[in-house]
Amino acid sequence: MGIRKVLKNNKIHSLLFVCLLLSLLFCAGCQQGISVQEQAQAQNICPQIADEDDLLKLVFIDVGQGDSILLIAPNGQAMLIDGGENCAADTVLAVLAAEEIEELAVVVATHPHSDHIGGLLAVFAQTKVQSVYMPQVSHDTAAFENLLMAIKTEGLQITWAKAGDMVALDDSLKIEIESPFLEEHSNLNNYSVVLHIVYGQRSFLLMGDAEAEIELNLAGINADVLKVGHHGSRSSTIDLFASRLGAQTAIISCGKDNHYEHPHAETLETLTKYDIEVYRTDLDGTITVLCDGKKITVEAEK
Amino acid sequence: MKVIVERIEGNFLICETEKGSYVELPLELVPDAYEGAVLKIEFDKEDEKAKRQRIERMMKELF
Repeated sequence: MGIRKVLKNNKIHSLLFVCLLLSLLFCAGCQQGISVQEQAQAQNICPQIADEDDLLKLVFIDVGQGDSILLIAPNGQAMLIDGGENCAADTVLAVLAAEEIEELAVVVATHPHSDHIGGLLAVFAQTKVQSVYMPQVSHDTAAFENLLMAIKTEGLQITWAKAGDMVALDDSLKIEIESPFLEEHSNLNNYSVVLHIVYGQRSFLLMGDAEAEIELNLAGINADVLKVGHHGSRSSTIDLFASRLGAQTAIISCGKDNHYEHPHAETLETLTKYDIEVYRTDLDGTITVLCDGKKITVEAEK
Repeated sequence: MKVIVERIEGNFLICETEKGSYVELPLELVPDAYEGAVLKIEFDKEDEKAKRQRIERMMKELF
């Protein structure tokens, strides 16, 4: 009797195991079976847009050599991604003032390089900030220490930005962190917080300074607008990544006549090859992108 | 003085000075530099003296 019971239990266990295995296989099959287009649609699935007049606004601020992007959600909540160099702080604050932003729901410091975090000091000093997202990586510079100090002074804690996490800003907006996806990356650029933003049928990918090794991992992701990684350096925008993105528009944030010759010719060639229209802060000034969930319009300052 | 390698862009090291300003050094000067490396920039008075003596000696011989 005892033996039979054991056998019976074993049978149940193996049956459960087979079911589990089958369902796992089925799931894996689904994943692999999805076409690129279906994947794109799946990625773009998003809660209902309340009103077609509700616009998502992205302002790629001309901060010279560096990055600073202001995102204003359809519900009016604002998020600042990087703040350029310390000397660009006034430019960033002027844009916040022009957009009548008195409070930033989210500040993202994509990675600890001065051309991304320098200008954030003044932002923390002059604007109310609700939350801060950063990759969990340190840098021994005064610029980074000053940033930590500024965050501490405001009594804020830092949210560790990592792949898979979402940033809640607006119910009609999906903001997913795509990278960093490892605990350790090869250099500070590759710790960059990469954001994929979906609004209605349109999506945006903001790369920070992420380079080829990150792009390899993200190849297959779809976006209508790409904020090109690392100021258009040849370190980023590899062919495989650009070819599968399906983007129509690329934004490059870099300084006029910068020493590093950003954007590099290779990057521009790759973007041209895939018919991606390029806007550059060094030539076009501050670039404003508006989206109603269907249509995207780009306005260049110059 | 000391500088810290803030980042590396192509052939340049972007270094943060003790005053918090930034200077660029050619990567060629410190090819094995890395992000976060602290570089000490100092005089080498001994080497300076030895070189000067050597050249002065040659100058005396040759003139």
